[in-house]
Amino acid sequence: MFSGFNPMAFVYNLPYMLSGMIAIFIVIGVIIVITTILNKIFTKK
Amino acid sequence: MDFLTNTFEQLGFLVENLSAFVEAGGWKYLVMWAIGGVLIYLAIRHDMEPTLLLPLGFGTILVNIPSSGAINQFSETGELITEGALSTLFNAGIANELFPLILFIGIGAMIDFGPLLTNPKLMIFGAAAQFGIFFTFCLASMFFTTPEAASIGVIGAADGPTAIVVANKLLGSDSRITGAIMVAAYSYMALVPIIQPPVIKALTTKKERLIKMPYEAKEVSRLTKILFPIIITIVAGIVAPESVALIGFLMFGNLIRECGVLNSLSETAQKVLANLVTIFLGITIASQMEASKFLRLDTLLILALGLFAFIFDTAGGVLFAKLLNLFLPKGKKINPMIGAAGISAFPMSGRVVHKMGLKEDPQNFLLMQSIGVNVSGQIASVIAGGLILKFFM
Repeated sequence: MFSGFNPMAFVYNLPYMLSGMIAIFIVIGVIIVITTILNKIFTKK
Repeated sequence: MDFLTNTFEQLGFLVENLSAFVEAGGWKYLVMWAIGGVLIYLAIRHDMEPTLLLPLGFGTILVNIPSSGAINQFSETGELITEGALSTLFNAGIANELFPLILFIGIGAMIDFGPLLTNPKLMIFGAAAQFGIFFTFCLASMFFTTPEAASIGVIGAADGPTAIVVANKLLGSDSRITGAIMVAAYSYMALVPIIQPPVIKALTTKKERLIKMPYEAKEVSRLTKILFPIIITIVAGIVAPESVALIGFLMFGNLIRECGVLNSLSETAQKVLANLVTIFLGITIASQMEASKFLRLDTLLILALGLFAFIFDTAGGVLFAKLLNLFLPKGKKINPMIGAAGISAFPMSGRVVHKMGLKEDPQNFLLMQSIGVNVSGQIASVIAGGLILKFFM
């Protein structure tokens, strides 16, 4: 529920944004690498 | 004469109900009926996600009839007087996250990962377009508690089932803001064709929108298509075990589609199962749209923050594509519009980008690339939801 206005919370939570975005790029990066490898191994030439 | 007196006495309940309506804040009910009407209008007149907005709109009217028997009614002492069917459905299918997860099997069966597997690098835009979730979380944290802000941020996943699961896990199904989050998530998904184009146009030049990206059709082996959902489940499950049900059900649906030996189940999941759950999902979510829960300052704020989340998601994808273009050689540049398709609203967002490309140049076909990015947004949004759960559960 609305718990008043606390502008400092924005700054306090910025590290979560940074770590969240880094984590998602890493996970997607891993998936890209695996998919590329799968394509190389299993696609007929 | 006695007969007439008795009849009038018996009809007294009409007057009682009418006075109860006014006493109970009749204007609030009228406002909710109007909101329900608008949702039904958007669904029928503008064909905006009618499968969700129509049941949601009708359900809104249904639960905002004073003492509605469709939802649980309690006495002043908190004792349950009437058990409503929609409340029962809510507890059976939404509070325990069953409906959104079952719907994910259907969605997974509908998705063709082919365009994505052909060009896996496109997946990076799915990650970039989750920026809105985390940025909106920071914005929302100025007004709400941390778990509430995180649940509001996930509206930006543009993915109703993920928003429901995250909000339920972080806040519980009986939180006052869970209903508003669900409604915002589904309503904005329907509004993607209205929200995204102005943001894309504001962030790109005409020259950028005219960039052509030739599509090279490559063959993807059946084994790759079968292994892909299994690997995604394992990778996402290891990183964020909290999201494994979400990603697992989505990928299970896709595995049914791609395995090649369950065509009948795949067809059922895509059509019958998805349709059945959607019917119940929309009208059951509406059980949370009671005037007393919905007409609050919180709700307006959540709707505004949800809109921000969609805008920043779109901006995140577009700006990331522009950033990549700074390093790409001439002739290999990316049309930054496809970055906007990295949100989960599938296939609306992919189509929006494709149409915008055609509008700029009738020979600029971006459908395969934008659908590929859109599909990656589906995966990335679930992973983002899992990360949010990992951070705040």
